[in-house]
Amino acid sequence: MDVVFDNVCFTYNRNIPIANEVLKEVSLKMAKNKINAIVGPTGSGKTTLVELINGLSLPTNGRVMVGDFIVDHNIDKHKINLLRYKVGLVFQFPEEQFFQTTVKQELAFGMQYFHHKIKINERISEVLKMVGLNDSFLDRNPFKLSGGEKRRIAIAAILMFDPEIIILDEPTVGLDNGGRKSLINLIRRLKYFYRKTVIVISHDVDMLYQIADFVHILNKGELIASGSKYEVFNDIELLLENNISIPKVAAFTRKVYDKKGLNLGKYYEINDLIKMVYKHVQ
Amino acid sequence: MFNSIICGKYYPIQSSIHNLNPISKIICTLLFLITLLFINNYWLFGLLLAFIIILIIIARIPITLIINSILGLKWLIIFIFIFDYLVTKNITLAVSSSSRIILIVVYTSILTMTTKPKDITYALEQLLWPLKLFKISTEQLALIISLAIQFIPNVIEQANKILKSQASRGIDFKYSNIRGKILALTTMLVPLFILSFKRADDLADAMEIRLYGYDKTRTHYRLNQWTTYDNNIVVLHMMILIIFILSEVVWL
Repeated sequence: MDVVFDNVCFTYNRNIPIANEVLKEVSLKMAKNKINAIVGPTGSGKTTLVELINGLSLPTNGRVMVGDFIVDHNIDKHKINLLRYKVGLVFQFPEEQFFQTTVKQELAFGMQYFHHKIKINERISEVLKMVGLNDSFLDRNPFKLSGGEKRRIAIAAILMFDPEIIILDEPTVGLDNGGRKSLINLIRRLKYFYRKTVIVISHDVDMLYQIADFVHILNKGELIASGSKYEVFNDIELLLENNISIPKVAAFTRKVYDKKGLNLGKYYEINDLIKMVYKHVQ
Repeated sequence: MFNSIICGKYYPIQSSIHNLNPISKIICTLLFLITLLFINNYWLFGLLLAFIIILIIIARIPITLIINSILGLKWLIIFIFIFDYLVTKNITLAVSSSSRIILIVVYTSILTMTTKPKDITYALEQLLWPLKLFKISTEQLALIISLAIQFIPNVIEQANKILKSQASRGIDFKYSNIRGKILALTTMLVPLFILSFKRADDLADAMEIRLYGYDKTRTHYRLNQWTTYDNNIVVLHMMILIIFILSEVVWL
């Protein structure tokens, strides 16, 4: 499913003195079966933007089109529930998304009120496998898992509904290098193997440079730029203006080009770049 | 869901009420609560409401904020009304109980919106000094109460985040029937307690790192001055208390 924002505005605490306009006429398109990255400084409206996609918040003006669903302030509540089967949202802190004291109950939460028990048990095993875990986690307390495992259980809980779109809010925050790498591989698997549309909010631009297809930059509620990761992340001036970190690979290739006039080509992973530079040096 | 409950949030503007000594404001709150206990007459409730509205205007608090905080507790107020009526079978008593709750909420909202949490701590510490005679640490007690007030908006924010997580997994409090709402609230308790305890632990560690300890004598960074305005507002509340009690007696 494509996701299209059409002149979307959103204001918190409307009609009272502490009203805050968080999104201002945002129009963008997120491509199907691709990894779409949303970047921007803190408070730019990234989380609010993704909450509009699955109807957690409704636009003050404008509309969001998610496949055949139109999310605006008139949307029917039954349609919102149907939409949430299609769009899964994993929040930044997994602890805020656990409601039960075992992984099995946690994964079954939500589905157990709509589906038969046998189907749920089969699905639980399937999603654990999808996120790289196994059935030995079923009786464990999700609050007592490691950071990476909690993150994966949170994603698995959303995958129970088999959504077409998965939204990940800061998935790598607080993870060590190993956890980060396995999460990056998981995101790739979701796109390539399971054919999901993935939307990632992150400040980890190096990760996004590796895995994203398209990048959308938000700042102070406005869409600043939208395009392929190569176009957006290699516009160093744009990133600096909007207080966004520059991916190391992009910074290095730009520096080499500025100093030596040498175009190193398109590399997205630091290891590939190092190999190429080593080859030239040899 | 909990956005409209703004009890505990300081509203940062300048007004005569904001500038009052926090001790006088807490004394006035206590006098107001005592006044409320003694009255049962609709006219007197109405006069108290008018008095509160005048205070809100002087404090320059937008009336929409106050209305939102009352609306946030509408189910509690309705529940109290229905419960009182069912038990006493007296509509007057039921209306009185609900009116008291509304007036308490509004008045304490004025207190917390016009007084910073650290000033409330200071005031409580000063007013609780008789407990020192029983070797109770008033500083600690005041800090506990002040932190509890300060944590209300944090807990509400946490609860809202949890409700959003539930909604994205198919249990939406806002759009559910009664069964769904009960389910959403009961399953919210586990993460809410765990996260609140964790936050309390983190806060305790942070305080210890900053050398907060009950054996050490602490002073105050800033001393609040008691002015003529404080005298006047306390005397005004005492007069209201006396007049309203006398009116209630005369009415009877």
